[in-house]
Amino acid sequence: MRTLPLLAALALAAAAQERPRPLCTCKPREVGPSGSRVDWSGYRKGIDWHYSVDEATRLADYDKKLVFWFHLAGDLDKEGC
Amino acid sequence: MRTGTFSEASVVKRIGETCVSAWLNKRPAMKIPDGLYRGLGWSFRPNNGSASHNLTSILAHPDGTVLLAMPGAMDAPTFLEQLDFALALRDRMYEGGVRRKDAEEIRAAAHLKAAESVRDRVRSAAYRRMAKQPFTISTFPLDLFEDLQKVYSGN
Repeated sequence: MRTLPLLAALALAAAAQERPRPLCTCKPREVGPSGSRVDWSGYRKGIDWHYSVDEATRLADYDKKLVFWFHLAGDLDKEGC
Repeated sequence: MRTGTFSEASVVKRIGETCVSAWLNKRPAMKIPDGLYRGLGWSFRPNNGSASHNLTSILAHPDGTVLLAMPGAMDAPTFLEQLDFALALRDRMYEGGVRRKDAEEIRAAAHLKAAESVRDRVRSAAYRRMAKQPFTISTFPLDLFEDLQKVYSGN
């Protein structure tokens, strides 16, 4: 019976040592002549896109997932790529 | 891709389960007129390999290692096939989350084998290019595949 409180304490200590999930703090980044970010109508619909690959990489490391980095081009208000 | 393949429920679900995603517009000032693709019959699904100068899908390990990079549009089955390739490659290159000493040899061999087995010309060329040289997220050239533009061939 005395082992139960000990196990509970160990479990609590292990939980406390877990890393917190990184916060999304990156600012949007693009390359190209305009230098400004343009969202597209599908942003945040379906796939949970993050603004920067740096941010996505930190979260993927925490979640033990891959980083999916999609390069596209063009005026995102149009139907383009 | 963003209005077709990435709107399909099966793709959204699988990406959410296995990836954290980000996009980069490498030519935000480029103008693509509405209706351009309708004339090519792209309203139902994207043609694999098309627009390889504009689109690239990169799948990487969180340590930065690019596991797969594939240019051009992909329909849902093709995209999911690439995702499975990258996940399987990760599992072979890393043991218990630790990169194997022969990981680079495993990576290059997997791409070379894929290049020889796939029939699509653009995909085969991309695999072959990836087999030659390792990339990381920070070293990946934005124009790596821009010479592989494929004229629509219906596959």
